[in-house]
Amino acid sequence: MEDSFLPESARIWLEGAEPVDLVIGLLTFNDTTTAPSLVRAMIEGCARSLPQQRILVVNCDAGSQDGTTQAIEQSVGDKARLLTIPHAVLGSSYKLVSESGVPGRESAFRILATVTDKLNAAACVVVDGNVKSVDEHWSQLLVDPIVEKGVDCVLPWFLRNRYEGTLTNTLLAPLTTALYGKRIPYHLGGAYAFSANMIRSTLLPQPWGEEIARHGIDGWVMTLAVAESLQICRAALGPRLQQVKPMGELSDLVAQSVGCLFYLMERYQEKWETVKGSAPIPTVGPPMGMGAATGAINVERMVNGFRQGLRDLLPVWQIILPAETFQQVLELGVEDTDGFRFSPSLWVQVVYDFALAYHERLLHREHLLKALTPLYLGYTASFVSGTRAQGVEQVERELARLNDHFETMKPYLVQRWRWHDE
Amino acid sequence: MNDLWGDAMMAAFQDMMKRVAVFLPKLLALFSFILLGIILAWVLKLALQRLLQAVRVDVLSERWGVQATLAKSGFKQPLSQIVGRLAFWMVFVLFVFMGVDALDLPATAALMGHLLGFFPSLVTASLLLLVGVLLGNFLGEATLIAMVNAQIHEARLIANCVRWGVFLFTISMVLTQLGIAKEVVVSAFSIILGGVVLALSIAIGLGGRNIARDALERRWRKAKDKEERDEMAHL
Repeated sequence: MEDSFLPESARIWLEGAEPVDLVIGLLTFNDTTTAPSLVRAMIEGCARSLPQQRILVVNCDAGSQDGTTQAIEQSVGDKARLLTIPHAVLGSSYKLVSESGVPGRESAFRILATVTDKLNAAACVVVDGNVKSVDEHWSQLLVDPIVEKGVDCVLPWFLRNRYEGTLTNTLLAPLTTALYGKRIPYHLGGAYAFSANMIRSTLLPQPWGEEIARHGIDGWVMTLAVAESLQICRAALGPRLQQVKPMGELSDLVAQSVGCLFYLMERYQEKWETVKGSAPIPTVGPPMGMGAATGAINVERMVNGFRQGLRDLLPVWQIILPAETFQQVLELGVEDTDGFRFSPSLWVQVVYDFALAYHERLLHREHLLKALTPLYLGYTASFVSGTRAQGVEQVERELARLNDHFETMKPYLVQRWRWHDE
Repeated sequence: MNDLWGDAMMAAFQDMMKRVAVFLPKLLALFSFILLGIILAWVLKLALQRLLQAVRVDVLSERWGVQATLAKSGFKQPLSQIVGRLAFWMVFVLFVFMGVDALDLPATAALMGHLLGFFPSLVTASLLLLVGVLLGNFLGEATLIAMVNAQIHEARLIANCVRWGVFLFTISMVLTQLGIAKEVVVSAFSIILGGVVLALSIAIGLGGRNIARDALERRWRKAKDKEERDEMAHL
C-alpha cells in the first residue's frame, strides 16, 4: 500500500503498533480552545457506548502555532493511545475554502484512511477540531451504525436555521439527490465516520494527486458515499457551533463546491443517468426539523448582485445558457426588488445548463463556475423574500418543491448530456 | 536587305529561344517547388495533427480553457487543426519563396533574401500575437467575473482596461519583433503608459479627490455592511 506521503515518524510508529478497533481522527489547526474538550468528549462517549473497543486517537494537525497538539496530549492523557501526525499543506490547498478552517484536509483524510487500514481498525471517525458543540453522544451516533449495523458511511446532519446553507439547500443537496437517488443532507464538514470496507474499497484507491483534490474533500466524500455501492446513513448531531466560521469569497465557495459535483458527474455518468426518483437514507438519532431563526440577510444586496451580473455578464452567460434559458433570465431584470421572483424551474434549468456547459467545456471551467454566483444570488434573494414572512414549514415545502423540480427535469440533463457525448 | 532582315529575325528568334530555354527550367522549378511544397506541407500538417491529437493536446487545451478563448477570438477549430494549418502555410510559403528564388530574376533576388531573413521574425511575431490575444481575452474575462462577483460597478471598464492593456503590450512586442519602427513603438508605448498613469494621478489627486474619497468610503462601508449585516452561511 502506498504510504510514502506519511511522515517518517508516523511510518515507524505504525510498524510497531498493535491493531486497534476504532480510530478517532481529529483535524486541527490552531484549535486550542475547542479541540481538548472535544477529544475528551469523544473518548468518553466511546468508552460508554463501546467499552471493549481499543481506541486510537490520531491528531492530524496542519501546523498549529498555538499549542493545540500539546493541549490535546494533555487532554487525552492515558485514556487512549494518541498519535500526532503533522501533515503537509500543499500550495493549492490554501485556495480551498475549508468548512473546518483546516487547510490541506484532503491530506489529513488520506492519512487517517491509511492509518485505519494499516491497524485493521473496523471504523474511523473524523471530527473537526473547531466544533464547540461536540458531546458524548456524537461517538455513539457516528460509530454505532458501523459497528452494530454494518453501515459503511455515516454522514453528519446538523440542526440548521431556515436560511442557513442556502447553497447546500438550493443546489448541492437537491442536485445530488436527483442525480444519485439518495436524499442526503449534504452538510459539509463537522464529522464523518467510515467503515474499514469503505476505506479499503473506496477512499484509499482515490486519485489523491489529481484535479478532484482541488475541489476539497468534503463534497468529494459526500458524492463517493452516494455514488458508490455503499450502505450509508445520517447521524442527527444537533446544532454545529464552530469556534471560527469558514471564511472565503462566495464565488470561490460556489466554484469549489459546485465544481466538485460537476467534476464527479463526469466520473459517475453511468451511475446517475439511469437513476430515477429518490429515497431517504436511514437516520440515527432524534429527528430534527429546521430552526426558525433567519438572521440578518441583505436581500437587496443579493438582488443587486444578480442585476449587476445581468448588466455585465451577459456575453458570458450567452455562451453558457441556451437561447431559451437566456431569454428567461433576461426577463427577470425588469422586476423591481420587492416583486423580484426567480422561479424554481428556471433555477433548475440554469443549474442543468451550467452542468452541461461544464461538461461541454464551453468556457474555462473556473470562469464558468464563478459566473454562476450572480444567478445563485438572484435565486436565493427570490427564495428568501418569498418565504421570509411565512413559517419554517413553508420553507421546507419550498425546498421539497425544488427537489421535485430537480428530479422531474432530470431527463433534460440526461438527454443533452448524451447528445453531446454522441 | 532580305538577308540582313532574315539574319536579324533569326538572331532575335534564337536569342528568344535561348532565353526561353534558360527560363523554362526555372519556371518548371517554380512549379515543382510549389507542388512539392503543397505535398510536404500537407504531409507535415497531417503528421502534426495526428501527433498533437495523440498527446491529447485538444483535450488539454479544452481543459485549460485555451479552446474556449480561441473560439472567442474567432478560431473555432481544435488547437491541433489550427497548429496543423499554420504549419501547412508556413511550409507552403517557404517553398513558394524557394520557387521564386529559382526563377533567378534580378528584381526578386534581393527580395527573396530579405523575405527569407524576415521569416523567423514573422513566425515569432505570429506566435506572440496568438498568445497575446488569448491571454488578453482570458484575463479580461477573469477580471470581469471577479469584479462582478465583488459587485464593483466599474467591472466592464476595468475588464476592458485589462484586456486592451494586454493587447497593446502584445502589439508593441509584435512590432518590435518585426523591427517595424522599433524606437517609435517603444517611445510611444512608454509615453502612453506614462501618460495614462500621470493622467490618473492628476485626475485623482486634483480633480477627483472627493470622488476618490467617496468611492473609498463607499467601498469600506460596503465591506463593513457585509460583515455586520450579512450573517448568511451559504454552505
